[in-house]
Amino acid sequence: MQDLTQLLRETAEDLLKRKAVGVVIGYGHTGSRGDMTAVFARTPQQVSQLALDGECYRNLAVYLNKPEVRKLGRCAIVVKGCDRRAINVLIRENQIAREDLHIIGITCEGVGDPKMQKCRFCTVHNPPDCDTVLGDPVDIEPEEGEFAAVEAFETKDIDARWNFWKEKLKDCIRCYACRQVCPLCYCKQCVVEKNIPQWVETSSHLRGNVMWNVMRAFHLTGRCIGCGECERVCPVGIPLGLLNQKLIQQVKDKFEFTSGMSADEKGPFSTFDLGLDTDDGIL
Amino acid sequence: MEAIQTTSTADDDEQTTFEPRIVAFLCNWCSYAGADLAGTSRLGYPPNIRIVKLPCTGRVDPLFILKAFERGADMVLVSGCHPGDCHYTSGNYHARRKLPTFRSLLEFMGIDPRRFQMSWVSAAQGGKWSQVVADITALATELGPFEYFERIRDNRN
Amino acid sequence: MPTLTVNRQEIEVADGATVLDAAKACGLEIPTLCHHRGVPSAGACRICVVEATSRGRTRLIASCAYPAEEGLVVQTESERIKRSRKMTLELLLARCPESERIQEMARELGVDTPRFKTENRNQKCIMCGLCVRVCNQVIGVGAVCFSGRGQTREVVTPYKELSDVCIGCGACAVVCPTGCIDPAEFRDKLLERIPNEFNCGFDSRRSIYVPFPQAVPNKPVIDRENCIHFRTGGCGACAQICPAGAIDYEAEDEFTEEKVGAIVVTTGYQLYNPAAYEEYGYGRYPDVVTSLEFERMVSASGPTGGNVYRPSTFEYDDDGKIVGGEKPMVCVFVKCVGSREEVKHKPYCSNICCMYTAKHTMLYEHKVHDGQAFVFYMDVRAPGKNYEQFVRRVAKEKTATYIRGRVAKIFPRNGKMVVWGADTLSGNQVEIDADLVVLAAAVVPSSGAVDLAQKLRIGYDEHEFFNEAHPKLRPVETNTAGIFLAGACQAPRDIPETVAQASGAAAKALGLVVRDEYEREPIVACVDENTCNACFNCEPVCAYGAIGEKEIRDRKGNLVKIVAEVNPGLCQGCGACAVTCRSNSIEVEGFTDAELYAEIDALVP
Repeated sequence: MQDLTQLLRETAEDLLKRKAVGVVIGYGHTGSRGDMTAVFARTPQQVSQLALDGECYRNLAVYLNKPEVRKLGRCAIVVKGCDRRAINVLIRENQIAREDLHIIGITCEGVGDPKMQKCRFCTVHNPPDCDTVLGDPVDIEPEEGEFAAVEAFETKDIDARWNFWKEKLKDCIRCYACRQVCPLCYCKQCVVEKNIPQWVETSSHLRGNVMWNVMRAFHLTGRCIGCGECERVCPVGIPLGLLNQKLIQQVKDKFEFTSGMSADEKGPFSTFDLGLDTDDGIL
Repeated sequence: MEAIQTTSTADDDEQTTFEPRIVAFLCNWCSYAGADLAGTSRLGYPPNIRIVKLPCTGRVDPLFILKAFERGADMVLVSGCHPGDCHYTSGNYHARRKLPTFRSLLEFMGIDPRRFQMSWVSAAQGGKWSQVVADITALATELGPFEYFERIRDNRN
Repeated sequence: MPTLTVNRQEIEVADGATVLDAAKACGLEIPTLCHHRGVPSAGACRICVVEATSRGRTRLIASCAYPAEEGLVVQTESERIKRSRKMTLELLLARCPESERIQEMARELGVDTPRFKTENRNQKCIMCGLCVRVCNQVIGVGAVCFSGRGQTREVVTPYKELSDVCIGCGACAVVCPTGCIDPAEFRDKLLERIPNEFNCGFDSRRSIYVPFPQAVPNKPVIDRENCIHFRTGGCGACAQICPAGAIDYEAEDEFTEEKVGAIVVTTGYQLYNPAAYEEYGYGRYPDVVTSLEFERMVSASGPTGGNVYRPSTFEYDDDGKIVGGEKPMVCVFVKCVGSREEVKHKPYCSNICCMYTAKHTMLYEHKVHDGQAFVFYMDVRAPGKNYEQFVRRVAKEKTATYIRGRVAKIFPRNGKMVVWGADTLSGNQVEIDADLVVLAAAVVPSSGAVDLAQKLRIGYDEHEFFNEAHPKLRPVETNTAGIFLAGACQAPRDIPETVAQASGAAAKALGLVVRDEYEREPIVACVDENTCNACFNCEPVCAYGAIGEKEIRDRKGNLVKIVAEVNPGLCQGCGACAVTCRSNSIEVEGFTDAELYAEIDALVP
């Protein structure tokens, strides 16, 4: 990984020197405890902060849509396969233009120690359609089925499921970290912040918590690319990824759709297919 | 409804007096007209259903369903035109994708999927409407009161 | 613009005109052979000689090639001219005694038997070279040329072999004054006749043609695929001949953008291809035709000039026109071919076949007086005004014998088409030796109807007929505001129904466009521009194409952002966009979130 870091720094320095980009968004051990966080290198001198290692679990695509970053001009961004899919969704939803980005893809065998769950069934180790690719192509088989966790959870009966979620959601403090970290939760005004009418109660009790977490997950249907950032940042440990994963499974099974695979795709709720859609469960 | 709020006596007593509250979202052109036809045809159906008229099933936001449950509905019904008959060409096609997906999320959350029903009732199907309402009212009665959110209220402290 | 005198008449002609042109402009006839107005002249045959006086000198000149000069004095009739022409014709007649054109001309000039000895060559070609000029200079191919000298001179392809260069256009044969050219000697594959689509391909058309007699606009079009000019860059005969100079080869198909307030869709129908019934043999047997093909035949302006012939016996003239054929003495009409056939074909009734078949039997009787017509039918459906009486008349006057039953098979035997059918009223099998079988094929929407519907965002049914907004209350509107339907694009319709519907559609469309302001239901969606993320997930959801982009600009005109915008004229208020919007930035007036929230709130207190 060291030499990759070096390569990345050289690439970033070159881009900044040529003024091909205004900022390089990457990873660096710049957190208060030396932990891995996002780095915004705007000058060739700042590229020394950039690093690449097994702790690059963040999805930096979240910054692309921030006005502060927009102001810096054309962006170079370091992405893993999963992050690259998020960029595809952003492009298809007109949030960014492909030509405004210089995408530095890094091939990835999985991040975290132990490996994060999302990496165990990842199939996008080599990010597609990048302007620069760092690292050798990776070819590893998924360790488990994509929906193993969902299927395991579904062995519970209906009451056990409710009890599980009730216990988990009870703790939600409505900090909205899950929303802030999500590259696809980019709404200027989230539905929870609209108060005429107040569909989602804002105070932190179970009723509003259920509404919030269900709506958050549902708004990501056919969009969530499963980067797992929401679950990672949740201060009270709600398994939000499980809800997302359930919807990813639904969309894949019912509508044969996987989000973020191309920038030209149409979301499953923007279209319909009379060949696929059925009246199952409708009286 | 009263029975739920007063402290319950015997279990079977509550069973006999439980009247489910069903919130129905009906499209203006088919199901609402079908319900109207049931009325003008003097077809009876249980009074447990409370109808919200919408232009189209495509207007049904999952927020409405969840809000209805949150407010204490025991069952939610969404009813619209048969596929191909939508007044707006494709509203029910969109509903047919979105709402069953939402139902599977509710099921995953531990909410009995039978509490969220969908039906296609055309403007000519007054009979079907009265049958659908009778069936789901019976089902809602059998499922009993939907108390998840009621219990959540207790959690407020 | 030179001015000259022709037979004491002063005339001003265009630059580049010839003496022949000037004479023509004076209304004088000068005989010609090697001249064709589409081909550069060479003055080869010297039949067109006239006397021309300039600068005091009078000479015989070839008028077709001599330029009209300023001050030239031309005499077109004189003894000297007559002598010259006679001599030329004597020589030509000696060479080509069999040529009708030469004989005719000789008669006109009083030449009987030539003084010169015929060398038993019996040629038709007069060596005028018009064919060589047309091929080389007009078509631009140069496939034929003179070869040999003196007596062995002739017009041939190189090495007298079939030419690869020749495109088989036949221009040489068209211009040849003596009709002595057979293009088949130059090339094995001649240009194919272009089937006339409007006449169901029964006869042929040119590559510049008026699509059909009542075409609007009634102007010719060029079929680029077949036009010689577009194939070789040559020809251009039509442009040369057109007196209005209306032909423009440079014209390109172009897209024109028009803003309109209403659209009336009237794309009509076509016939279901009866080849789907293999047992009827349509497409294999020329004497099995569709009702539309029969209709063209009985039309006075049709390919047969209103005569009914068996297509297998069509006789064509050189121009590809049908000039004769055998009259069908027994004609069988088969109804419901493709209609009312739920399993394999179309389940619906095509509406018009019963009536036009009754009409066809009458027309057939008018054309073939002693002919016999049979009609196989399932039911006779004649619900229009006076329709039933018309069908009764056909049955009563014995114009046709109606047989209730289906046809099982049609096959050829001894030059006849044998029709096997059933008579379900008598319970008998029927066998008819027919000369012509007419299939009343089902009415289906024009091809491309679905593409158009998707473009216009209007609905269509499983048979691809366009959907009206409401079958009883809004039969000419579509669900998309401002788009109306008329005629068979919506369902099989006959003429009175179509006219009535079209009048309704026209009135509805006018009702929209005559007003300065447009009134409509207030239930429409509107976008909250502050919170719209411009993700445009709402755009494909809208069945009416009502969602567009709106640019928000600051006071200086700088683009601040782009947001979604609902066109209230198109929006029907279904609310699908409102649900698709995650930030709830779209509201439907009358069904706003606040209103619905309050309703839910009130229903479950």
